[in-house]
Amino acid sequence: MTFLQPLALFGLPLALLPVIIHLLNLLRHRSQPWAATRFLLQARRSSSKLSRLKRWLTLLLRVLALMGLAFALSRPMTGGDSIFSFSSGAPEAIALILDRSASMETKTGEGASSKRELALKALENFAKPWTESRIVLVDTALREPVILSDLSTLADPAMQRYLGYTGTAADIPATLATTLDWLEENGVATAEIVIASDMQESNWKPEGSEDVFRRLKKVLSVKEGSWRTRILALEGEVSTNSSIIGENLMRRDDKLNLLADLQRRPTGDLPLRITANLDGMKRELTAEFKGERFLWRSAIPLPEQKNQGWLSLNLPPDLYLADNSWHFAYGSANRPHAAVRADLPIAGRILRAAAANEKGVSADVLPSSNLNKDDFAGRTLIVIQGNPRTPQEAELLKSFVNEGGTLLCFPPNSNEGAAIDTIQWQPVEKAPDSESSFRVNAWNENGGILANASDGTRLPLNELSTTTRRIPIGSEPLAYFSDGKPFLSRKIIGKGIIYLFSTLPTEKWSGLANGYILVPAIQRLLEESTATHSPARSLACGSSELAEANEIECLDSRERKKPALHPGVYLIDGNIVAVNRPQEENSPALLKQKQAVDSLGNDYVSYQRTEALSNQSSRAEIWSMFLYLVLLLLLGESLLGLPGSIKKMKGKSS
Amino acid sequence: MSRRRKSYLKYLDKEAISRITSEPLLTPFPMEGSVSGHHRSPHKGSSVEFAEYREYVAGEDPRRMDWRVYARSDRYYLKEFEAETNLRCYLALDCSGSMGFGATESKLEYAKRLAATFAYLIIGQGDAAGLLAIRDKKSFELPAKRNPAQVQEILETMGPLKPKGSPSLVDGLHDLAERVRPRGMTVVISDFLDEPKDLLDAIHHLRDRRHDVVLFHLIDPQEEDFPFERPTRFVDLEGAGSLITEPAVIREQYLESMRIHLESIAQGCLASEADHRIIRTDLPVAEALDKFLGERSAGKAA
Repeated sequence: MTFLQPLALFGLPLALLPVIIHLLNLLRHRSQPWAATRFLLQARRSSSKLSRLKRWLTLLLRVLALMGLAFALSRPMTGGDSIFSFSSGAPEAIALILDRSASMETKTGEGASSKRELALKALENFAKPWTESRIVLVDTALREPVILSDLSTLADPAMQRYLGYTGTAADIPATLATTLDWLEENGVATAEIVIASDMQESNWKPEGSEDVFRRLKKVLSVKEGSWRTRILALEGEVSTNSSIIGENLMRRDDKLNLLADLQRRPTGDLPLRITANLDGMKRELTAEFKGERFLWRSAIPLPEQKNQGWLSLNLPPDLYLADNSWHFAYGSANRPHAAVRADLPIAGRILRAAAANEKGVSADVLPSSNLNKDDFAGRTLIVIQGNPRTPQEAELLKSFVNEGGTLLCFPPNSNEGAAIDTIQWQPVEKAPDSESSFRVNAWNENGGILANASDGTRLPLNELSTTTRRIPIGSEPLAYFSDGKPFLSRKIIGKGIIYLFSTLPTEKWSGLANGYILVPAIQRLLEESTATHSPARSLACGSSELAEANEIECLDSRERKKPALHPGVYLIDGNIVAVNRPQEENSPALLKQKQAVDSLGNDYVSYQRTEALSNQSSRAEIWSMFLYLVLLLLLGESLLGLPGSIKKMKGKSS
Repeated sequence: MSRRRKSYLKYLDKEAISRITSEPLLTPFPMEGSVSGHHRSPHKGSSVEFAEYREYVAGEDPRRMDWRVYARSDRYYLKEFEAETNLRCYLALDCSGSMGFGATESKLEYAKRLAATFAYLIIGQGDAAGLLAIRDKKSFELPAKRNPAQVQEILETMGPLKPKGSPSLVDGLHDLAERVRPRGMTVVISDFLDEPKDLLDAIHHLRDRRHDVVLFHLIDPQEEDFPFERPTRFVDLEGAGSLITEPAVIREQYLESMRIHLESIAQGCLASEADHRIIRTDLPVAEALDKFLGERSAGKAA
């Protein structure tokens, strides 16, 4: 509890006035000679218990009434960390951290405010009593500290840039770090930091931001409570919602094949109405499905041949609008051919076949020696088995990747040749016998080139028998053998990626040659690399690439939207870009209270649920409560003073 | 000396003396006096009041034999008459410290006026009056006499007495009961703040000796009304210390204790046929005595 007028607390000793007056009265007694003292003694004995109780109770009520008055005048407020804090409690600065991720647009009921709006109200209520504190707002979307002249600016439409809806994901630890940096730079001694968030785990990044959290903890602990952090958790799930997540859009000459993940809550068997906006032409589609989740496939005819275009899918409005839309951008139907160079001819043949285009034409063959830049022109995927012949070739391949190309490497049969970047291969390992071959047991089934098929079927990696392997060094593993060594790994160089398999698609090495794993993996790589090079692209809202864009035109709406903040379709620097909410915003996992508090250190962090506004005002003035208390106490005192109250008390006690 | 005498005459209530003249004080119990008087005696005597016939027993005085009865019945009968004697009245005056209390007039001063006037009336109707002033260590006693100078003696004995010491009324009454053998009237004037049980024992003792016991229970109006409001330090007049209290807090309990005390004395007196009368000291002595004598006469008539 803190006090806005702590000086009034100096009036607390005045509460002893009734006792002092009582004692003075006793001192000012008059002397009376008396004969019937025995009756007085008897009377005092018999009346001592209840009369004394009544007398002291009366005094107590008077003292408490005066104390209550002093407290009321001192304008007490709830929400302090200690029971009593004899200070105005006004921090030098109040830092309001607003989670503006897409999930904050959830509404808990019809006509209710979104979590973001609730958070703003809670933040306003929190900061309102501290009129003398500086207020700085840091939102997760822009992560720019904005100093508010007063709280009324929170309602200013011009502030929508910092407070309004976004389709971005949030990085709470990074935003908090920015806030702490600002406080540090501005030499703020005492601060209240309020983080208003829906506690979506993906926004808090408990895994992956350990270093940031460690630093935050350290900074907060150094401040020893002069910077206090409060987490205002806006929990509460949406009861009725349907959502769409675009999985894939493939252009096939005169049509678009789309795959989207449809979900709804509660479950039902009614068809879902979807409004499709194809290059500005709207049409109604219907997704027939029963249950809670459905992978919806549809083919939309293209009325005209365009080099690039876009498609927006919109579900009917519900309590969570942010997940009702998905935007696609499509490019040309022609994909560049992949090129293959292999030391082993058999491996070369298999890889060319696996990298065939959609018409079944095998991938091109790269010259076996003296590669030059022209060999990579127009290509997005190069598959290579063996080391580059010369350092020049290695350098050429590296620059291909640097510029956004994808390079798929298979282990060399010998140690001859140069290394690409710093990638080295360990010596060849052979399994002791075919029965105890190397087995793959861990890979990402939900994403990447080894992900499950769209119908959920797993790639048969666990059935793959590998008798010979060669492990690359200096790359990031993506799939593992059962002994922990990587089966597939990658290395990101510049704008491109190098993927490295640890075995060869030949009979002597592994069963990759059967194509069950190799074909989908290479085809996905081809698709991915083509999409990367396509002028029509899809990006996550808030990604750094969007922030660098210069010429921006919104294609799907007349609203003044910004691709860095709002999902939609934009023409950016002449290319169509579909901007969607980031994948992590679809994750329903929430951070637990203990986890949140622990991540920032227990000592100076408090956690408060803010489902209802009445509870949100963690720092409400409660002087009126004290005033009512004073009235009640005075009423009690006057009731005790009524004649015959002792008899009543006696009667009750008897 | 004459001035002192004159000053003690103030204890004689002239209004009472002038109002109460015709009604003699009579006692419902037989008294043993030394001379004949208005009061019934336990002995048979030679008054005009016939009592009974009784068969003659050898050795008795033949002069009291009724010869007419003998002539009619040829049997010896004695004709007996009620003896009438005078009254010996002892005025027991409590002079303990508590009797010094009084808002306008102390209870002792009131008691002195009551006792002096009472003695005057007793001696005036030809009966004997004595005084026993009971005080902590030193008591004063005047044997009962019927000569008019006794009033002066009583006045001079009790006139200079001051209230002092702890209560010793009970012992004084026991002592009186033991020493005064002939039946008489004992008038006790006190505030009776002693333990009721001890007091009633003493009254029983007196009643066992066939005394007619009258208790004039003096109460000051302040004691009865307890009109104090502000915190007060009550100083005990009998030296039992002092007590600081808020009267408003203990008033009800005080009055209740007082009521219980008075009731227990009244009940005890009723049981032992003692005459207990509560007199507020703001009541004029004349009225108090008039009421007492009036009720006594009415009781006798009944």
